Amino acid sequence: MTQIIAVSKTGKDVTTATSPNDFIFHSEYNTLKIIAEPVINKSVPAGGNEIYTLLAHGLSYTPLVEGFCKVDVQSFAMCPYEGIPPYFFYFIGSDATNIYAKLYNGDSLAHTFSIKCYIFEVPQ
Amino acid sequence: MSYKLIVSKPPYNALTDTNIDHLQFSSDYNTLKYSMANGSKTVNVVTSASGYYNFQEKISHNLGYKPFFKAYVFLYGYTPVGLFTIVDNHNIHLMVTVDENKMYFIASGFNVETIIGTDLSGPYTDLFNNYNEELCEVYDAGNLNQCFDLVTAWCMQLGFEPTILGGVLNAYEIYTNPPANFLANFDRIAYSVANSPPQKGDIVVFSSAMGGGAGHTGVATGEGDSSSFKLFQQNDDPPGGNPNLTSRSHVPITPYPYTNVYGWFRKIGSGVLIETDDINYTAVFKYKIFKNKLGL
Repeated sequence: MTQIIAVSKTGKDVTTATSPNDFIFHSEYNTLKIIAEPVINKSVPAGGNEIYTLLAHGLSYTPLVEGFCKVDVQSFAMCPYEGIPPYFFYFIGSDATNIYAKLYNGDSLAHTFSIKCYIFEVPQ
Repeated sequence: MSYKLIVSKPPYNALTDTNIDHLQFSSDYNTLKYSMANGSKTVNVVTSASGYYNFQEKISHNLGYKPFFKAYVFLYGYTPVGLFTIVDNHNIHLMVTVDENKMYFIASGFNVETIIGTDLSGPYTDLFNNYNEELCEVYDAGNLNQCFDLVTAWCMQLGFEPTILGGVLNAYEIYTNPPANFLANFDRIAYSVANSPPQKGDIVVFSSAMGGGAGHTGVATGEGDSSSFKLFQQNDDPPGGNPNLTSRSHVPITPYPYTNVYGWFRKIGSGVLIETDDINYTAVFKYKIFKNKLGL
């Protein structure tokens, strides 16, 4: 008999539920493991608009990454692909060595962009 | 002694395997924690005003910190692939941000103005740069630095002969008795609320109630509304202006009311008819908020 560990959502019977969406955790499904979640501060000069190297991830594979950005003069965090003028957080990505982000500072002063990086496992 | 919870994939041994790819779950690694906060928010964008616009909607998550989230947006005609920017002349930005208590759904962009016909902005700028706060004298040396001179200079800037208004004695007569050649090249537009303000490059003509009976004339800057407008002109300065500039070409600080304005002349085929797009779209944002703190 195959044994599992499963935790269902409130209102769902863990012994009868079959939809993956009914479970908080189910041992038959992989979880997206977060390998590291550093915050990288990057000083972007006035007019800066380029792809910045945030860090070397040190992994043996190219990881899936997600990120959020907060500019020092703003109170909110933004997800990639967007921004509110004059600051943009265009994208975050990775290769076999580094984590990168394209940042744009359209202000006349340098600003610090704080990027929270989520570096995920990539199931093989 | 610390305890771990590890669930391996079949056929790996959870007690001995350390390869993360062999594990379904390991308490050594953080995971994204779903909250029940997910749903959608619609942002309706309707504007006919020109320039930058920004429409926002928001929801409260009340977590007390900035959370991890994912969002994507449905916009008619586009595949929902997260948030995106439409790079065209409208530059629509569809974005989501979070702070400690709220999530914001934002649709912004530019409502562009379209100039129909030949744009007179360049010649107008040349005229302004040549004569602003300078004495303009191009016609009838017996009457120096008249309003008439600047308007004639404008006609010359547009490629006409200095004599295109030849035979007109007083400024108001440009409107009441224009030379045939002038009328062949300019449309005469009577003042009305619907027609106002005059557009950049229009030659505005005042009645004989101004200028001591001679009337007045100048070149519209394009600024104004149905109550008043601005004029690049010479030899007049309304109250509140700089008396040192009265005889020189300048744009008075105080806009002109339409009192005593007959109307204006617009170069035929000129491009000062401006259309502003009507922006009207609906962006439906789908979101999911996680419990994980960004720590920003």
